[in-house]
Amino acid sequence: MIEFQNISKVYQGKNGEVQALEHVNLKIMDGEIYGIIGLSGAGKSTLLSMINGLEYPSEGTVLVNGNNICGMSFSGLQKIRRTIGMIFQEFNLLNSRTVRHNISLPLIIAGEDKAVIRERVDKLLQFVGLTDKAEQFPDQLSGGQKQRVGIARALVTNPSILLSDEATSALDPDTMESILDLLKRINKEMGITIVMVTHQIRAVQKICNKVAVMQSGKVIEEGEVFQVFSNPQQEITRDFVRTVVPDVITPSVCRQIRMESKGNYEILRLKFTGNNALGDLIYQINTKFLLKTRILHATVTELDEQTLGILILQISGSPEQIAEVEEYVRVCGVQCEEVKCQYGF
Amino acid sequence: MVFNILPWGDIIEAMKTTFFMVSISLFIGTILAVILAFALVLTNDGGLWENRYVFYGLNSVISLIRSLPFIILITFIFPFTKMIVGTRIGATAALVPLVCFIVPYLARLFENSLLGVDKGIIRAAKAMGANYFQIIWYFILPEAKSSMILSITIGTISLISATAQAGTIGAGGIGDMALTYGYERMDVPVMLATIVILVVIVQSVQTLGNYFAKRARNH
Repeated sequence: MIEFQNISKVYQGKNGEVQALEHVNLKIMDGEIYGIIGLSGAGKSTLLSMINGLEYPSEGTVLVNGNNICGMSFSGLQKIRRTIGMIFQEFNLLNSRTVRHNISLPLIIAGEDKAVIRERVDKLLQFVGLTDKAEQFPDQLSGGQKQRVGIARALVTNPSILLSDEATSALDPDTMESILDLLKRINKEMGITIVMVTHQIRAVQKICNKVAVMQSGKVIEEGEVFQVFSNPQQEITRDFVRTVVPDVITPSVCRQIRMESKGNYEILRLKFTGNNALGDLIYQINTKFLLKTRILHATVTELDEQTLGILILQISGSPEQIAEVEEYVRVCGVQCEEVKCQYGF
Repeated sequence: MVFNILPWGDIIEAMKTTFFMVSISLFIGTILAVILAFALVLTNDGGLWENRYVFYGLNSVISLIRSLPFIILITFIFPFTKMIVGTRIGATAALVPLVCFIVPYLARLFENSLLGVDKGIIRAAKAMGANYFQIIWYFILPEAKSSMILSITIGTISLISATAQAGTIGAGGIGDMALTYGYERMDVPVMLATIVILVVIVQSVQTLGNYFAKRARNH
């Protein structure tokens, strides 16, 4: 378990003090894939680097499996670091050395036997699918292959935790997907806890179980990915989530509604979660209330192996009738809110 | 025909002397410069052993020596030379100013090579649990090696030209030969021959340096 207790970090900047982190409290359980998302400068990388002691808090405690990272001797910290792998946005591989040598490095500095290193590296090369690239040099590889080398290097010491510092941010979308698949596999097959710092909500959506949203050094929202994505509380979270789970009507649809619609109508955003995600609510509304409904927007997304459906409906009818529909929808256990046309004049 | 009028014995002797001065001072100079360059980089802002006083101290001494032309450096450190090798003239005596000249020069070049190593690699090394020695040995040196070889190449060529000036303290060598035969005796063929020899030596050093630098970068 990784625990951040009341972490603050103050830098001495050119124009006085800079508060990089402010009273951060987080708990990361074993076996989780924990995403920390935020815009650049939110303090997320600083927070991540405290787990393996690359950065120290000005205030507060970091506990990794019960060990206080800040109060540790250098040799103690070295031992802990060998149980924590780390991968980076810029890969940070030695360009003057072969792929094999790069992956071997953590074991070489741990003073491991040559035969053991060879066997272990072969196994990992196979795991990341780079067996045929062992004797090549990093600059002969693509970005995705370099990150695979970085991942193999991070796993070669059999760590229990993997830290990912924007590891997919420099990759093209297809490569990002394949690296995320690999991370998920590592988590499932090896049971390694993954802490992932990113500004890509897609990465969180695809593999994380839990997420913390950071802004200006503070955690502003935290919880299960499904909870946070289906019901974001903060503006910045909503903006992030919207890019992968759209829940607004497009401007052109808005314009059309304003032009076409006469009489009373209401636009409702329905959020289906869990079991009711694939129900027959629309059919029920149509047959039960005999109202005209029109689907303006619909998405179904899988989050952390659960389904989230978002449906935006235009319902025409008297205010009383619409209120009844809303009541009925809520009774069915579906989240429902009214939306206004936000664009188009 | 031209060959016969050249004093081959003297030329060979001069080449030996040049080789002696360059190789010894380069060997000692490289070792000292590597230590000095690491001291600079490690104590600089953001280095592993950040220490303002050590950094500025070393930095000013290096800049001070670097600002003296070699011919002035030779005379300036006469007492020091005498103290170390017991004499102020000859090839052995020239080693002292040559080393004093090349150490700060190479240290600056090496400093650049070391600063060229990506900070991210050092971060990765720390994250793996490497200690300071391991960070230098397994991460910084391999990455800086290619650039450092090119620095040594430049240093070698500077040393060859510096040995010519060491002729003023009777050090001999190929450059000194060009001065005495060519300038003082107006012996044009000998001067031309020394020029050809110098050009060939410098070109070979550069080619060798480029080759090894390339090999260190990849493969």
